[in-house]
Amino acid sequence: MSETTTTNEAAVIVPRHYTLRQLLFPSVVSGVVLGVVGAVVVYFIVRALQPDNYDAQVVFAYTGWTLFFFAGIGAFNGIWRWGFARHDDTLEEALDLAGKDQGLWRYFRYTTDHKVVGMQYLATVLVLFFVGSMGAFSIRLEQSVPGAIFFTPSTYNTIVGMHGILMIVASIVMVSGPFGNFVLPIMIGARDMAFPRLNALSYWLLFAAIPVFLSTLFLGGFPTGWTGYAPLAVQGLTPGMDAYCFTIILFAISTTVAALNIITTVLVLRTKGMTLARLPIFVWGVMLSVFLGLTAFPSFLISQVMVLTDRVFHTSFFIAANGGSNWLYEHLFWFMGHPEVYVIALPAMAVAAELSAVFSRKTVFGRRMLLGSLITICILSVLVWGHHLYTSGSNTALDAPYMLDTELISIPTGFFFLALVGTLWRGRIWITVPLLFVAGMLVNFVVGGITGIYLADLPTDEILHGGMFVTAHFHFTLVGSMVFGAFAGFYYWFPKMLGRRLNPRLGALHFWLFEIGFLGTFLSLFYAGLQGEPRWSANVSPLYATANLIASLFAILIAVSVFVAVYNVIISLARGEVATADEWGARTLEWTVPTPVPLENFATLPEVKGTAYEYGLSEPVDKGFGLHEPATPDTMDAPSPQAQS
Amino acid sequence: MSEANIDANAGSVAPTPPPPPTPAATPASREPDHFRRVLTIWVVLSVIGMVACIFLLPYILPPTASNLGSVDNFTIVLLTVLAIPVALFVFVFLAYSMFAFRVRERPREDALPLKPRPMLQVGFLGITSVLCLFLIIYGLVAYYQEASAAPANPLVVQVTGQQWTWTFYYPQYGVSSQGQVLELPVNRAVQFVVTSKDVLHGFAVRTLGVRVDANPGQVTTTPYTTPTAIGQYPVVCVELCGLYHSYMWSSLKVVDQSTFNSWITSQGGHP
Amino acid sequence: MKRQSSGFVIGIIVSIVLGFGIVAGIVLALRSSTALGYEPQVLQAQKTGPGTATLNLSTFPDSHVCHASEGEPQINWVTYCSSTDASQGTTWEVPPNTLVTVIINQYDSASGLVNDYFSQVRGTVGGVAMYNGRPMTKINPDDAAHTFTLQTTPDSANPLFVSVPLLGVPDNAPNVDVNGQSYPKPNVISFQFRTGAADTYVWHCYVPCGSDRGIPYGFSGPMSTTGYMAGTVTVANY
Repeated sequence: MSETTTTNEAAVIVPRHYTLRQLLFPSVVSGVVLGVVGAVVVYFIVRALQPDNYDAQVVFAYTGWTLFFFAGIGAFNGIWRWGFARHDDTLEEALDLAGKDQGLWRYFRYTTDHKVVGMQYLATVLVLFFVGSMGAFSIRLEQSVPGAIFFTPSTYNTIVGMHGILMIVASIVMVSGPFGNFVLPIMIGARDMAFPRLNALSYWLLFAAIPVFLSTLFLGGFPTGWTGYAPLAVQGLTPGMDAYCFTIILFAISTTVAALNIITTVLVLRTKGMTLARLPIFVWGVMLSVFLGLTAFPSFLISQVMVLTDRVFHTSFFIAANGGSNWLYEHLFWFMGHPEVYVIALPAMAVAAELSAVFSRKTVFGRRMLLGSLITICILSVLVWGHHLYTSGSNTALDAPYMLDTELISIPTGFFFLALVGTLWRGRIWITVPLLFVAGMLVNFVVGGITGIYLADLPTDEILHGGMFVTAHFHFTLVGSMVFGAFAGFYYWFPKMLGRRLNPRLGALHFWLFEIGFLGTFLSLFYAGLQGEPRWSANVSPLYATANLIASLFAILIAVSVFVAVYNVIISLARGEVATADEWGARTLEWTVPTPVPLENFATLPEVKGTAYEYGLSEPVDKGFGLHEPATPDTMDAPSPQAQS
Repeated sequence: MSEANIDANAGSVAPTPPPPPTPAATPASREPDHFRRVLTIWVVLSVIGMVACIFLLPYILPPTASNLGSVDNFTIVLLTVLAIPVALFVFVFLAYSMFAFRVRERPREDALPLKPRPMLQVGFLGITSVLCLFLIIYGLVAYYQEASAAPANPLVVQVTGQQWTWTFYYPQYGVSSQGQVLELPVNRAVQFVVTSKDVLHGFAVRTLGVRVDANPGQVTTTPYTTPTAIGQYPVVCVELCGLYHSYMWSSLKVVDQSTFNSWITSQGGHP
Repeated sequence: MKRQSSGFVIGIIVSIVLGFGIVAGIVLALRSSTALGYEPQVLQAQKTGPGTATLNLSTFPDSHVCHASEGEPQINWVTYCSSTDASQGTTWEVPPNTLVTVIINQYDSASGLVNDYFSQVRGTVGGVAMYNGRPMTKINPDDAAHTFTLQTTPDSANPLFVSVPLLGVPDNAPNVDVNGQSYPKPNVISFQFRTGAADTYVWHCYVPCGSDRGIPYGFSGPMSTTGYMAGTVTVANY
């Protein structure tokens, strides 16, 4: 039915079926060009109508950019065709939309193939992490000495905000985007996602948000940090704040679309025999995460829409002098803000659980217990947002229930640790780079989780809220645990996605530099927080100077680790060893398809008869590496052995 | 063969002892009792850690100068002491596994499966729940104690946050603070009544153990707190409020009652 | 496993060097962006003798005098300027252990204080300021156009707090010409304070003069931008 792709295809620059014009239009090139034209035209129109309202000019320009960008990249072609064409998509047209025979160009077009979307997400996430880490190093530079020496306080506030939102956006998509798109459909035995065009839409919405966000650098920046608290967000008279709000709106739509896609795919497109009970933990983690996102992100969206209406149309949702309330913003924001960290956490925790089984060649210790804990975390996390508001002065009567629920989340989290520690215990532990990151994640998550208790407890939160203790806590959880989990997934699935092996020595170097630098930086910041250092300090008081200097020195190690990782990726792509289809001996379905993965994933859809964790339960075999025959391109034409009972 | 061929029944093996080891496994008699070893390490390190924590942590924490602050510092020590065995559980088991069970290269065989016995899960749930419940009850009790204390003759200080300074007013004396100094008498309960003139600020005096947001158009209050030590302490803003947020600072001076009275008089008030 | 060639190790070192180069480049680019925030050139108080110095400032209702090259909306922002040479005047330097005299020509009309704390003259020598020659200790809060408020940075060893409300010009004031721009006749406000050892301070206006739209907009715009109504003061030898 479908041709297998050959290794030659990836190297072709202009495939012979296409002219350059056909590839460029529609593509990201035409999208950007048309988007810029649209933004400029709309800007001048609005400026003529409202010469004094800079926020209106900028927000409408962004709207113009978005609509024209999507027109230019061909996002509306499907709708146009549905409305006006005389026939539905033929198979050829659908495959063309999926990037067949387009070589590398398919990554720069509105391509629906989930593997292409996954790669696009991967590249974007890495870029976002890199740029966000530049912000982090700037922050540590400024905080290494007292006084606002390297940057003005205004520039520093913008840097802090940019670092925050770039990293938050990157963390939200870092597992569900690249691996949730590339790997998940193969893992459940599907040929693609349920809504391939929406898949492309979700990615390109994220892409379209990036220039919108970066424009804040030219519009005065924004002073609020990533939380965007009104009324400070509404107060600013330069339009830099609008860039942040609009970015969030695009991003929230992107994640909503992606969430609907993932949920539908998992519920509907599982292959025969893959019951929900047999679903791999990774798929559960991603699905629970996007359920949570679907609940939470609309609140974020509406909070930013309201900030924008306050700014552009001078409404007063958050302006107390005119009847509004800043507590409204805080509740809307944190109703998203807390589930959001579990949106980040659940996929990374699921990746760690998967990898702990693979690299100890042992079934997951208490798989149902683990899944139960992930589901409990998902449900409880919706109910805890008030713990960000303990000291806000609002509804003190609810402080106790919020504290109860927040502390309760530690119980399922404890089961997560029990499951992973039990999986590694008495396993045959193959220490690879992915496993190193899993181990680092467990260590960091313990510290992060325990320090969360300090903040969940009302009396200690009184003295710790708004200080560097909070910053260190959430870095330990979001970075030390979740980013480490994402890196574990990155090193694990890189061979499948890109066909090359990452250099394990550089990978180990990346891990150790990152872990040591990370521990040094953020343990010092815990200390500073205990002493009482407030957050968002462009000017670090001399009382905390030593702790901050030590933190900045350790941050140099983190920087070195980032550059080592970048080097690793570059040389591995250029000259790395070619990876096998079954790189690690894992048992989930993506390792049964060849590398590079064919356009439609499977020649015939597999039939599943158990879970992917039944190590040690089949007869032990001495058949060389792995317990099943890896599928190679030569054998793809024959019926898959899985199809035979 | 791939997992697709594995009989589904194998997945529901009862939690009995694992199948007999394959010939490649170490004979049971020569294998060290890993579990006992790791438990010993865990217990020993936990005891050392908890004791070290009790003695060393007070040196790390900043001095407190109030009754609330003492409770908060004590709570931090308590939480850390309780956290040490929990953290070490993960660290010790993880490190031990990584050393004792590692193989040098890609494994040729699987490890024997381990399934948690129901008693382990129930016991784990029980222990973590008890710990969690203890923390919740402790926190609630401490919180309600500080929230409900209604001392006699408290001092009330109105705090106004503005971009980017704090101003203080003593309504009982009709006196404003001088400069960036918040002067308080020792051993007298004080309550702060806080508001903002523009955006959100966070009024925080760590040594007094109080912290509350300053909201525009709203008035929020802190619990009653009593300064217990004479000295000078920082008052900071902990909610990002714009350009000079990190410069928004005042100095709390706790002085004896007579000094405070003469200060009030010098400002034109009546003590 | 491939053995490591020297090229491999050189590649790592090159990446690290390049990486830090990128960091340095980004830091420099951010610093050079005036859109994000900038510190104007330093305005030094004029030394008038051993242990005395004078700082001459003006407050204007728009930025034509010392921010003439700005576009909208900054050109309409209220601002502090240097009086002596119409240059920007929000980053000040004064000598240590000095009696500093500040003379402010105040050209702006009143916006009114929202916090009466700042209606009182604080921290000056004698606790007074001269308003058009008359010594006063406080003014009516509604008549304040701006304040001159110098405050201590956190945990500084040399605390200093000086706050003087600046009287707004009446609506019927005659016009004067400043550098080709027409403004109401200014109120001249002068006062003195003493500096201690070398340290850094920040100063800020506390009248919501940034916008007519009311709270909290009055505290934004020029009120939140260095170069206009906020800045730093360095006490240092020169």
